[in-house]
Amino acid sequence: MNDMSCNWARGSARIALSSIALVVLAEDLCAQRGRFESRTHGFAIEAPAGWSEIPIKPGEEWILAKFLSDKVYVHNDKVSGTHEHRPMLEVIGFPKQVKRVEETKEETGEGKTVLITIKNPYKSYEDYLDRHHQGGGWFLSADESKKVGALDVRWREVKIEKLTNLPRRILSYEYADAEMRYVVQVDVLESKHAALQKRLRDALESFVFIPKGPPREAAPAAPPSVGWIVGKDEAEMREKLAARRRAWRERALRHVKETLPEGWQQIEDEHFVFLSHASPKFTKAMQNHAKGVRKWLDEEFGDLGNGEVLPSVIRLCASPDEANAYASGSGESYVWDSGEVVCAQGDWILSEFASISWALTNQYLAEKSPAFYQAMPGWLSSGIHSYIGSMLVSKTKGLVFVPNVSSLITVRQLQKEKRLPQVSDFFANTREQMVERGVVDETQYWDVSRYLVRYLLEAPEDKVKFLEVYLRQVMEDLETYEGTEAAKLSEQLVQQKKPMTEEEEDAFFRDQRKRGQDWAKAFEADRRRFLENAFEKAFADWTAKDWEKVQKDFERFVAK
Amino acid sequence: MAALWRRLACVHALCAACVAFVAPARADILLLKDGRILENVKLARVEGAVTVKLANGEVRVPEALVLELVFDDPAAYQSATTSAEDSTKLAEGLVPFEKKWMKPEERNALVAKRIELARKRVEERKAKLLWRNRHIEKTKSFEFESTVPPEIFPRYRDLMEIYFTDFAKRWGIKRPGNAKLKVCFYGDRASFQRTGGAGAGVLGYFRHVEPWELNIYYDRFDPRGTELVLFHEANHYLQQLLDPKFDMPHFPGEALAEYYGASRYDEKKKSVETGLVHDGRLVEVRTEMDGGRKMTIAELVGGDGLYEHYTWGWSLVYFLMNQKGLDSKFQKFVLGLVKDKDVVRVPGAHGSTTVEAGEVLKAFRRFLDLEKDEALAALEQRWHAYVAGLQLQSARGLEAAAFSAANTYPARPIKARRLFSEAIAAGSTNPAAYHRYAGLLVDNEEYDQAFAMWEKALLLDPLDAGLYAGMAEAHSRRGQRDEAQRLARLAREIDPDAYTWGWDLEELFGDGEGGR
Repeated sequence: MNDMSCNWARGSARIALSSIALVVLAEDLCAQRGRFESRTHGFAIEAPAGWSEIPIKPGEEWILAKFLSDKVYVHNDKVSGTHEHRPMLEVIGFPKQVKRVEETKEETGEGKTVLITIKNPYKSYEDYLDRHHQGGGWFLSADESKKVGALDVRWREVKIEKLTNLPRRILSYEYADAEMRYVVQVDVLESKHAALQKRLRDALESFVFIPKGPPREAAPAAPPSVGWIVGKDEAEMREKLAARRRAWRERALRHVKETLPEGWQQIEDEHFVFLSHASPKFTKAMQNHAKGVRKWLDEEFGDLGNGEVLPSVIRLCASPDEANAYASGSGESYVWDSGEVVCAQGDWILSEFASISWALTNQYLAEKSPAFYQAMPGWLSSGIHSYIGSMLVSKTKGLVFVPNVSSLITVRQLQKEKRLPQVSDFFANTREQMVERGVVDETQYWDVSRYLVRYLLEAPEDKVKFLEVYLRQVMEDLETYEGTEAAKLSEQLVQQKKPMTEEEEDAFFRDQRKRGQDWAKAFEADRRRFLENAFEKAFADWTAKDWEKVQKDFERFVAK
Repeated sequence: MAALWRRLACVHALCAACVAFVAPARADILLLKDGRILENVKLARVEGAVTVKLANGEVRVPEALVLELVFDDPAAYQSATTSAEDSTKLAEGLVPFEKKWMKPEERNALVAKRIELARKRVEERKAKLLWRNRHIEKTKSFEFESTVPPEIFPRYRDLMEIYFTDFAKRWGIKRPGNAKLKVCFYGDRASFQRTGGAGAGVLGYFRHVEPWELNIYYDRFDPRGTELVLFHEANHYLQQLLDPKFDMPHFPGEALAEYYGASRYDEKKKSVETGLVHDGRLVEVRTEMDGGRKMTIAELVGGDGLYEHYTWGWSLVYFLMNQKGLDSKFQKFVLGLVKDKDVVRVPGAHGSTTVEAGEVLKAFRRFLDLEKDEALAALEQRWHAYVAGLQLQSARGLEAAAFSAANTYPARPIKARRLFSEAIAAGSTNPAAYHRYAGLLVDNEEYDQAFAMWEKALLLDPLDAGLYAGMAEAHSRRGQRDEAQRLARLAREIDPDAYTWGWDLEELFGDGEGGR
């Protein structure tokens, strides 16, 4: 959590692109019940009966199909206790050729930009295993060629034995056509291998090639929040970025709908696309909750900025295991922001609603006003998340925000000891300053900040209008922020004379080490000065009495 | 573009144990003493070496590095002939083979048989590199599982036994129920990380919960480093034997392991010498001292889980163990943590006990008679002065100092060049040191000296692709594009898996293949 942060690039005309797009993913569903077919890649397979198909997440390049066991198996480890495991079957595709794609863009006044994307498949299945953490040390315990029907197959068995709580085996068969190698793999607990191996092998051996259909539209590219964008000024770049994001979202929405496996339902409204594999009751509850969150966000932050909040994709998985299986993928295709909110039907504890609240809040604020989202002081960000995370939808009372018990205990205790921090402290100081001065310790800082934000959000608007004034001042100051002590030190570092002897080198070395420490101090000083200045300007016409009034109001809020 | 040699400092770590080239007309096989196997290559014997002919040039492998070579073509075994008698025999249709004359068909049959046996040996060696076919051997105190080359394994097996016996005698320990520790010894780093499950920065580990197990790997580019790690990790096992239900705190645990890590095994005398300077750690401490830092005893001994327990901690233990009177007090302190009734112990993990950092400091001060602040301050000064006065003596130590000077920000290239030069004069046999030095020389535009260093490095490891890539960049800087390209392609031919510089080749030459 930062008291001050400003991550988005100012003054730079280009943002680096690292696109990893443009591979067609699995799509068509079973012709026969239990049989999965991929016309794009020309294969079919039958997972063990009862296993469910897991959707492939946007951006995934190598995993073509995934199935999760309907049963959970238990392993007892003498040292670390009991652990659960659900086998998963995957089909992984390894193209035989390296693909090189060149794209040339002409930008008026900027010349030509050539973007070369080199798609580097894994060299082999072993290479794939090496580059993905298997949950422990592994080795090939078997590696043979055999026949499955008329097909030549490479059969491998992997044992995962060291530094793991779950000793397992991975059984895999490798098939190949002219263009691709297909590895079908399934993992199983070592202790359950004997009982399950026949069933699993039958599934691995059910793989067949089928005629390929026409290629489908490419899956959505990686999130366009990173990309080469050229514009004459910042406003134009922001508009281009927004347009790209809209286009990407439209493609993403189309894709997720088209690739929905059997058993999933799709529900759309103005703000959301729900893709649910959970029970109807849970799905309805989450829909109501998401709508409640959106309503609250619109009321509280609707006029925060002019950004467009795009429809959210909310994926409700039938279980946490299914959510994990969905989220897992080949490392080189990791997508840190798929644009989806992924939740799971667990035990109906509060965390399921909290996680959707947090995700929707982050998305909303980031899109409504990126400047605000990134400039939010840490205490405010933490407080908002804590508040929205406590939200429940009541049939009779509407939106209810359950106080955080630990925060409440802390603030009441501090109040009792007459040590409740001043509200103004949070606006004018960094967390470190407050802790250094002994106003609060780290834990108390966060507990009080959460309660303070509750106060700021629940008190009547006329009482807390100053929050908006302060935040606008911070955002304005960030726009013009330049020339700091730390920056001056950095410039000095660059300007140092090059040492010409060993003695000069050693002196320079000592000097740089000290400068590094000085820089850290200067940076911290800059942070504090920034907050002080913003505070002074935002509250220039405030008196001590004004702050007393706010403090009393806050104390009353804590006590009630 | 940052210089290739800075990024290729450890490229040889990427070289596989087996390298199979794209099949040329010949399919000779070369086995090196360090365990590497080259297949599908064209070899030739020359004076003092074997040459490997590749598409982009020839690699010369000194005979001293060769274990065995197998020619695919029977004619390649033909001995040179010069005498008149030889001419007569040749005229009779006979051919020479290993000082005997015989019919061509007989020679060919003999050679074919030899090739067949050699290939079988190669296949067996390759099979033994796989963990499922690992070598298993029990000694008095250990149970080894190993994929280390069979010529190399016995040294480490023997040194472990001797090391254990020495330590057990000095510290009064026994194996519980005479159980043997399992030692998993991998043939290279890649298989250690893969099968041992170790993370990127881990050089070895001791699993200290049941079943106990030691996992380490053989680094053919740094056999001495392998020993250091082995001694260190085995020391954790030995510390555990002081009391199986006690977890030694991070200090002195890691510091003591580093102290014993710097032991040296004398194969001829069958003895282990302990109490040597740990060059790498000395360099780290001295670098910090150069930067103005001096760690206090209170910070070090009272700190929890610090990295400095390996560096400053080693230096403190080294100092204490080299001071008459303090060495026995320090040993009593270590044993006291385990057994002394006045030391406060707390529950550790998995049913064990341990001592918290604050209590460790308290015990340290008590056992070493440092309860008064003046005594602590005085000892601290002595320690710092002692460490400042230690000299790096070995080539390895000088190399470590040179790498540190070259790679730690801000870099000190003048110092690094001097230290590399001294390391080489002291007999360095580390190709990475020559390579890094060459890079520094190129940065200083001393090209001829740089190429001379690379030539020396190639004598030590002619199959380190990074060396050729380094030379490629140097030629490129000099505007010698053709030679730069050839060497870059040769580098990639030797090690196509090292994709890091594949990108640079793409950038340099745009040859359409990119990295792989």
